[in-house]
Amino acid sequence: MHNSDNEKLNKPSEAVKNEPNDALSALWQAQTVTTINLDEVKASLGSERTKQRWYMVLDLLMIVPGIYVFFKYWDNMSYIAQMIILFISISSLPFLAYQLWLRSEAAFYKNAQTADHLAKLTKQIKNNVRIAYMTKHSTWIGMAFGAGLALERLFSGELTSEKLARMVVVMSSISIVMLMWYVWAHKRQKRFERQFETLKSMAQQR
Amino acid sequence: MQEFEDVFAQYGALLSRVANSYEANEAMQQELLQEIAIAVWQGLSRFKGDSSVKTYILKIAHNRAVTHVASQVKRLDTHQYDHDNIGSDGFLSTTNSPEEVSSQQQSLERLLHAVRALPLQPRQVLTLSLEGLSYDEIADVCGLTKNHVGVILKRARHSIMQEQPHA
Repeated sequence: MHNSDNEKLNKPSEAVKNEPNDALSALWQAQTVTTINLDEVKASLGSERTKQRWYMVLDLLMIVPGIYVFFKYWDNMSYIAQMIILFISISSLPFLAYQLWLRSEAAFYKNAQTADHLAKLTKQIKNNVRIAYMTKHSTWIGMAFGAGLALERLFSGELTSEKLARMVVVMSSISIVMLMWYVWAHKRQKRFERQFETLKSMAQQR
Repeated sequence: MQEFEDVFAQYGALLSRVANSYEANEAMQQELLQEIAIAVWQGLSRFKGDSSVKTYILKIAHNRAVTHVASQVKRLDTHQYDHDNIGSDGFLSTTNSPEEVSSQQQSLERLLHAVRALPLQPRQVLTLSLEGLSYDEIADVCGLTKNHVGVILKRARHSIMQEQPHA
């Protein structure tokens, strides 16, 4: 499809002053263009909305295990275990709020000026770098907390040898998952760093 | 719904040219155009009539393109496409002899190549100008002052004219 739509150059009075609509504009307008597939747009829009809603549900579900542990085992926990669970639960809430905010931002495109959009996007990617970094390190910190919790129970005599063996298996399995999570978060961090550099150079090239 | 479709019928080519100014590869152009169309569709539902529809959708389109360029670093460096001399659309292919392509196509190739080689701001200002936007409108889309638009446009045109001496 060539430039057959009815949007043409504005009248000279509306067009850029003191800059004649020269051959360059005519040449630009004559370039080959692609037709937008509206059915595909509608379908993508629908699936994108559904996907975003599911992501938000999943984000919210991530705190369910914490809440479950909180209410189910709270009375049976030692003071240290209670503090650890409380710390993890409270520290995860800002992440959840930020994650939900990011999703809502992504869901609604705004007609911001490009300079503002670029600045905001750069800031957002910078935050993503930080989050990926923190997620990466939260894996081994989480494991350290878990090990601390297990040791605390062991030394307080709450663990039988059978329970201890089961815990070692569980901890080993979690370690493997955490290792995979660490690698995934590291890759995300590196990707966001590259995006950040790209945006920074875009903003600097004036 | 019909309103949205009318907007796309009217400004579809404009949006496609925005995509072309950011991506040289045909497949990537289509992908970006689709992303832009989705963003515009979402954005139109919140259009309050503060500006012209054209300016409004151009803001959304350029913002989406900027996000797209940043997100492409996970796949391929976009600049790799920008300087790729062998576009899948064949525009920049060196295998075609000059006789095989029209003079206008050759000029277009040079123009598009030169436009994509510009940094973001001059590229945006120039292409908006080529779409017939006034200084005020360009300033509104880009977040610049009117004077700044004039300076950037002059430089961009100078840069392009070096590539397009006959345009």
